[in-house]
Amino acid sequence: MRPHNQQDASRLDDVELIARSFDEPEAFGSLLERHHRPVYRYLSRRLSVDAAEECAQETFTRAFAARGAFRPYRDSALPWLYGIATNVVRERRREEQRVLAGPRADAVAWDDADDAVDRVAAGELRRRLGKALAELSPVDRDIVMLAAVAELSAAEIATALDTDSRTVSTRLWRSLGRLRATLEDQLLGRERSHHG
Amino acid sequence: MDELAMIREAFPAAPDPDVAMLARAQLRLDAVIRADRPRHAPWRTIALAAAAVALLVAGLATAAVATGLFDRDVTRADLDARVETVTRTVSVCRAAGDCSPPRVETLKEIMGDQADGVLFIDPNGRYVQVTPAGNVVGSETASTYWRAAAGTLEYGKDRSHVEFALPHGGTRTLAWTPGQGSVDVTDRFAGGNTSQTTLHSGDVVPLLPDTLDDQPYTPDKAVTVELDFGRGEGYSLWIYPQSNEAFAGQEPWRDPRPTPLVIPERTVTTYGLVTEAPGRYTLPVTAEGGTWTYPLRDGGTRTIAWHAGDTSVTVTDHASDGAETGTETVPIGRQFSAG
Repeated sequence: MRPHNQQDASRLDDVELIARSFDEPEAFGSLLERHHRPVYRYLSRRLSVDAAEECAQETFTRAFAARGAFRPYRDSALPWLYGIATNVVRERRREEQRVLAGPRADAVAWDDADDAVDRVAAGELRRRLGKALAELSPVDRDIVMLAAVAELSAAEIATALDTDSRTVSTRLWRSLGRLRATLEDQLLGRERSHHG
Repeated sequence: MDELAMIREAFPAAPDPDVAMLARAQLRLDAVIRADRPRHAPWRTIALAAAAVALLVAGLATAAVATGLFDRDVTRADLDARVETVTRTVSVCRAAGDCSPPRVETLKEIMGDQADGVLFIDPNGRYVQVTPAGNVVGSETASTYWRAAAGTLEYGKDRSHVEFALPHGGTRTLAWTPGQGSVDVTDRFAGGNTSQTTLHSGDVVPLLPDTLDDQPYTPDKAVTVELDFGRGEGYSLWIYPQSNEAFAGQEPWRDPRPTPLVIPERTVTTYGLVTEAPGRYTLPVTAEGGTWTYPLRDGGTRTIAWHAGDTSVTVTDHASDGAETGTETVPIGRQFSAG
């Protein structure tokens, strides 16, 4: 076996790295070192911290097994990895719904909102958004979350979800409209209840 | 503020993963990589940076004491006890040609071994490896049985499990406690009966009962010795005492590899292998059996002997001064590192 050269691997782009991993599977470890952080952070916005760690691991083991079907976006594997991570989230719908439904018990550790008023406001925003997001279809929610928290472009989301960017743009535009309408309904309902 | 920005604000990301989390992810990926080519490479070393050292020191303090020549329940503490300090040069790239200046890092590494876990052989002769010490399952991607079961895999902090369909109905569940060395196998048959057994690190068994009976060379009928453990290689040698044969390189239960698995000459020489053809190796065997002696890294020697027709081999270690330091009878269906 040729020893895996860590320094050489780190100089390869993602496409080259994955190509090399067919001859030297250990090279795939460099892909994990490179992209574990954004994948974990994306998952931590959609799941609990423990589940995010577990799902990040699962994402990379699945990616290794599925690297024969790798879909690059330009030279990057990150959108493809986000797509795999999104599939893993889909298998954790119940966990995701819990996160969307209410304040997360594990959020305190990284909550920067020192001011109590800000904290309450952030909690209220989260509750309303979570309810609105939960009402979207799973695919629409995935598209919105990839756009919002992973900050992917429509083309990158299309790569992640193995679809075309026009479909993504259409569904994203429609979903954001629904979110806006739901939030406005919630706000109006609250104002009515305050005045009533 | 637009909706996307509001979502980002309402659902903040956790802090960046620390080195221990990255090491756990690497550990699990390494097990999968290794299982994908299990006779070719040991676990890639697991990098743990300085912040994780305290955990490792704690692991050292509680490392299990091995009984006999081979650990039968390799735990997380055993893995941690193998920690070594290494340096490597790292350069992080944002894109091709856009890399940071190389910097030298000092890391803690652990070298894993295939015998740290239980190796299951699926009906097609493919591997599924469960290593409770690292709470990882690895499999060859070609294993259709694994692919069918992968959706049932659940990793837990206290207990992990995966479930396979039995050939005539019912299920086989593999369950383990993370960090420990044993795997509980529970069969629930279609008729309602159940059976349970516990397997240990180093066991090599059929993934599903009675599915390998007509295959004489699957490794559940062999004593498997992993060569060159700890040196970045990890080629396997299979001794079949019942048929009085030994093989290395090409797996005797599989179709020939398209490209022969050539074992480095240094390894061939160190272990006294006999080259029959490119990628095909054996040991000197007589009609009565075999006696194979090779050097250990600590300066001593190990002798593995068997009689033709036996269902086990005898392993005897000697120190550099010739004094015997241990002996153990190893039955077929077991694997260990050469040492």
